[in-house]
Formats: sequence, C-alpha cells, structure tokens
Amino acid sequence: MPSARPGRGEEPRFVFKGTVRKLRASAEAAVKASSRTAIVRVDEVVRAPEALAEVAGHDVTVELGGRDKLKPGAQAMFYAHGWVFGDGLAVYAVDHPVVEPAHVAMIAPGGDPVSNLARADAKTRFNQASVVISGQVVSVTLPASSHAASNGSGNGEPTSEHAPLWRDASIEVHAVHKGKLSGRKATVRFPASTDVLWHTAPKFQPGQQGFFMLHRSEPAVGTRAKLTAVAPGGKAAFTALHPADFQPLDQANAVRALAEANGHATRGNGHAARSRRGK
Amino acid sequence: MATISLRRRSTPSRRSRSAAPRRTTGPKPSGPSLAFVINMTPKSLSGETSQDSEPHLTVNAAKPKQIVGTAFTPDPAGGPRAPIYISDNGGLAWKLNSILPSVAGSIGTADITTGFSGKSSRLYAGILNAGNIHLQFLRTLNPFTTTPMTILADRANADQPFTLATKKGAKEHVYIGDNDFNAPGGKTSTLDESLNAGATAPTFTSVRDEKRTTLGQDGPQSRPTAHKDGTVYTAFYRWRSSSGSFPANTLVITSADVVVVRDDNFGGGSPPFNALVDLGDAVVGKRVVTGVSFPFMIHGTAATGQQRLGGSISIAVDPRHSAVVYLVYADRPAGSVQTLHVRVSKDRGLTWSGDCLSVPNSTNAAIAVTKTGVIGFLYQQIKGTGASQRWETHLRRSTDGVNWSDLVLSNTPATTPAKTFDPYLGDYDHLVADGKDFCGVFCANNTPDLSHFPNGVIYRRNANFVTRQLLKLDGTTVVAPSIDPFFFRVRA
Repeated sequence: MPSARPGRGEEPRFVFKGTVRKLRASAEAAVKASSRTAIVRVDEVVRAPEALAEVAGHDVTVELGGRDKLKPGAQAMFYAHGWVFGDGLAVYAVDHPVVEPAHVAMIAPGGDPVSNLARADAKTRFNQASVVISGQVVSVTLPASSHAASNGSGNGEPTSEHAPLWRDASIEVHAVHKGKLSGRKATVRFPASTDVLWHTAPKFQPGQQGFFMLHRSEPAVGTRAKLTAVAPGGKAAFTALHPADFQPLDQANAVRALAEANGHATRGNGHAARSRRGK
Repeated sequence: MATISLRRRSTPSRRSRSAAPRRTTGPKPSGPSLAFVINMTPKSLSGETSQDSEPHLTVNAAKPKQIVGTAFTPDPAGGPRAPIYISDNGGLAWKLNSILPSVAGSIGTADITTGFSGKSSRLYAGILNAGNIHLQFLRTLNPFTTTPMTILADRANADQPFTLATKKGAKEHVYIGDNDFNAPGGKTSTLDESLNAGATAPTFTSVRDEKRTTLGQDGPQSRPTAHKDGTVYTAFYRWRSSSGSFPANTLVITSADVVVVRDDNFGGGSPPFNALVDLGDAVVGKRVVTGVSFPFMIHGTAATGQQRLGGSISIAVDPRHSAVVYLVYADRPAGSVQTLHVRVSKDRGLTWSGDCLSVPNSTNAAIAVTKTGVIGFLYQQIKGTGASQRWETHLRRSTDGVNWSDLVLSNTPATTPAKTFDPYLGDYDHLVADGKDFCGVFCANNTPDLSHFPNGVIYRRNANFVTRQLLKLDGTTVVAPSIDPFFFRVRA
C-alpha cells in the first residue's frame, strides 16, 4: 500500500455505489494486486467531478482502505480518491461501507454526480466558514491601502503572473445565517485574476445577490499573502476563494437548510429587509 | 458490464496510424519527416474538458522508454494529490498518476516541471503547490508506482520552478531555476541546486544568478542546461525598467537584458556560477543582448490568440562540445506581438552570434541538441486574425544553425475553446533530445480533426475523426473541445 495516502480527514470527492467482482485483483498494471485490492463494477456514480461522472457500468480497480470487509458480489458505497487513470482507472477508497438504506436515500433518481458534488462542496464550505450571510454586492474597489508600485504591479509587491489582483467587495447584509457580524456591511477580499491559481474563485460584481460564505484565516491565505499581499492593513480580511463560497439566491432553501441542520438561527437585518421591501 | 479497455472505439484513420515512429529509417535533419504525435489524455478520461495547459516533459536517460509529462491537470477525482502523466513505452500511451502534493478540488499545481536524474527511475520535480502556493522540490524513486512524491524543500514567495536533473557517478544533481522574491536587493533570478539530491535529506542551495541592479526583480524565466563534463549554464531576463500597469494589462518591460551565467564544476564552483564574466562591465553574467523590450501580460487577448505573453527563454548545450550553447529569447519588435531569436555561442558563452533564426508572433520557445549535434527548436506561432486566427506548433531542425527545416506539428483554432484561465497554452512548452530523436510536448485545441495535425495524430480518448467530435466514455455523447497536451517524437 502506498505511503502517505490521503487520510480519512480528507473528504473524498469521488463517491460511487459498486459491486465487488473480484478480490485480490487489479485491472490496472500500475497497481499491484494485493489483499487490499479489488476489481469493482461501478453501479452508480453518486458524487464526482465531471471527468468521472460517466464511469457507471465500468470496472475500476480499488484499493480498499476502509475497515469493512467485502466479499465478491457485495455492494458497497466507495468513498474514493483518484489514483491512476489510463485506459482503465484505479482509485483508493478510504471507506467502503456495505450499502444500507441510508445510502440508497442519498442516491436521488436521476441525481447528477457533478451537481451532487457541488452541493457537498457547499456544505463543506458552509461548515468551514466563519460567517455566512446573504446580501448584495454594492461596490467593488481596490483594497484601501493599495497603491501603485514602480512596476505597476499594485500593492508594491513583486510582479508575478500569479498575482491575485485583490479586490474588496462591499456587501450589504440582508441576513446572517452563521456566525456573528457587526454592522450592516461586510467586506470580502477576492482575487480578480484569471490566472490558473485564482480563476475558480468567485468574481464579485456590483448588484450581485446571493449567499456568501466568508472565511477568516483560510489556511492558504497567509502564504498567498507573502506572494502578493492579502491584507495590507494587517487585519485579516474575509475571503471567499472556493467556487462554492458564493451561492445564488435560487439556492436559498439549500443554504437555509444547511444553517438549520447546523443549529444556526438566521438573523435578518431590519434595514436591509426594509430596503428589499421598498424595491 | 463493460470494462474500460485498451482498444480505441474510434480510430483516427490510416493516415494517422501510419504516423507511428519509425526509429530505424528516420529522415535526414533538413528534410521532411514523419512525426509521431499523440494526445496524452487517456481513454478513461474521455469526458474531461479541462484546460490542460503549460506542458513539460522529461525522458529517463537510463530507461528511455520512461517518460513523464506534466500540465495544469487537476486530479480527475478531485482529490488531494495532483497527477503527472506517465508513459513506460516511449510515449505510445499515457496514464495519469496522482502522486503530487496538493489540495482537494484545486487545479493541483500552479507551476510544475520534472526531471529524471538518469539514476534508475528517480524523478525530481519543482512545483508551486496550488494549495499553499509554496515552491516545493519533490522526489520519487519511481514515478510509475503509486507512492506519493516526497517533499524535499518548501518555501513561500517564489515562482516558475524549472527543473533539470542529472547524475555524476552515484550522485544526482538537481538544478531548479526559479524567480525567488525572497532574494535580497531585487536580484531575484535564482538557481536552486542540490549536488547530492539522492541523499536521504538533501540540501538545496539558492544560487543568486543576478549580480546587477534590477527594477526590483527579474523575470520569471530561469532556465538551466547541463553538460556531462560539469558545465552548467543558466539563462534569465534581468528586468531593468518598465512602463504601464500590470493589473491593467499594459505593463511593458521597456528594458531587459538576457543574461547567461556558467559554472564549470557541476554547479559546485567557488562561488558557484561565477565562471562567465561580461567583459563590458566586468560583472559576472554575460549579457547576450541588452535593452530588449516586451510586454508582460497578466492575461491574454484576442490579438495574442488568448495567450498571455511575457518573454520566453530556452537554452541548450551541445552534448558533443560544452563550449557550444544555443539560446532562444523573446522581444517585441515593431509589427510582431513577440519575436523569438535563436543565437549560439561557441566559446562557453563569452561571445554570441547574431540571430541564427528569428520567428515573429511566437512564444513558448524550447531548444534542444541531440548527441549528433542536430538542433531542435520548438515554438508556437500565432497566425491570422479574428475567427480564422490559428496557433501553429513548429519544430525547426538544423545541423548547422543556418539552414532550418520546418515541421508543423499542429495548426489549431486560436479562438476556440475560450480560455478558462491564463495561460491559455502555457507559459512554456518543452523539447528534449532522446538519442537521435526529439521528444517534446505542447498544448493545443483537441478537436479530432486531421487537418489540424499535418503529420498525423493518435488519440486514446474517444474521438470520431469523421465527425470531428470528442466522445465520452459511452462512445456516443459529444464532448466539447478543450486544451490537451500532445506528446511528439521526431527523428532528428
């Protein structure tokens, strides 16, 4: 078994229901058959990025990292990380419980694996967020302490193709769904850059309405700051760097359900509510 | 039940199949040549639509059938390890092996290059980890196993690692060019080297190649090349002045020098890389050209075929004579978005020729020299405007640096697909000499259209070359075109 495999703490994003076809076997040359490998037929993909959304009906090689012992013919839910992708594919399952009614319930008829993954990401980001609000972007500006550097890179920091081009979005808060927030406005710092490093981060525009999952002290932010300056004022800014950190208004029920499921009472903003009623 | 099998459901055509490498009857350097070109995306990822740009490649000198490629390819399962491309049959088929440290759901790496040292199957890598944006140096004893690569060194605030690995006897040497913003005095062009990289816990030393003042930093390109006799060259841009605004995409490096430094003892000189002194100012580092100008773009535009431009550098030493070294650099003369210039030095970098070749409207220069002295020059050139704009990938070859053949490897639309991020094709591609062959990698629009690949192409992912459509694993559902990496092998 490979060393330093992703641990249980790293939530697998590829989840499928499968049937064990052969134990101690591998259909992938790069994966040596062992007591922990099996060939599994994918019966249904529950959650997956787009590239793996269509593998139902195919056999995959699975390294079994979970505690459940499986037998040929057993049907299980596989929570897997990617491993080897060739003409066939191999994955490493951190968990593989035998299918139970609870699992059947999570497979909605016609459920799209990519959409399911997006919902799972939203849940994860909700749980990780310091504050979750709904509101409207009223302005987008350069961070207050920005100034032009001699080379025009902004913030007086090095010119790098990976520069995030930080912007501050000022958000009029309609309601707080998680955490505490003083005042009726929140400022979220986001990268305007289209560089490979930043392109998936939400790009906010004035007038944009929805749910904002705001993070303080994201693990990566401190180191990103060293590359390009995150918070010139020294105060940790809210960020929203993951695509799931913004949810449009049509996801209201889903976000409120997340709040309720986690015991967070939504607190409205009277001023904002009056503003909305007035429109 | 269906097993994802090796067989293609749709084969390109007889023409493309006949383009397989012919290793024993290769063409003469200056004449027309068959090329083997393959889309590196494996069959199991037929449904992917990622922008897999910025490719790099290394061939294992000890086991030439072992090749590793890289690109901006996320883990297809969205997991916390990013993949490399591996081939154990000389590039005829490719797999992805997710063994790089990263963070789940991310692009994986924001820069990556790799190098086989030539000792068994040991592979080294320099990456920008997309999770924390740290520069990390990695190692694996064998990239064809599923063991994650080991992090040998880690630091923040550096950019564009460019990896070269070699060996001397039992010791492995690793040279990683980068732009290190931690360097004092704005002298940021750096070569991180370990002269015993195979040690359990190897030490990397940051050699500051820049000895002159700069505008506050150098350019991101720092490119090493090494000869077996111990000669190591590195080339980089010294940025001297600029105008315009980077955030506004108007930044122009109005004056830059192209500088070459050299070490004659495998990088172990005392001090290292001080062997080449410019007689003009008596400072270490030969200024091959001075005062060149070019844009440094934060994002590509329609005029540049969606590709951001920001200079380009490649350097290669002749394996037969360490005194002979070829250099490619970019500038922007009037009438060209960016022009590549090929020059040569035959006296260990002390003096340099004028242009051996220059190519307008081009980027992603990569130069290599075979053991027989054939020069290979890979680049990508923008042609046309508007809807008819194309990206052409060329391999030029020459035995004398004067007469060059021209092999067009791809000719693809520059307007589709629309870019999802910068860089569209990559801030670099790569070319290496493998015996008497050139092996290389470039990125392009992946529409399965034989008119886009004049010398043929192989796809492992499902594709219909009659309808010119990519297909999902089911063999019927159409997949939108995207950017894929393409490996090629051409007899020198």
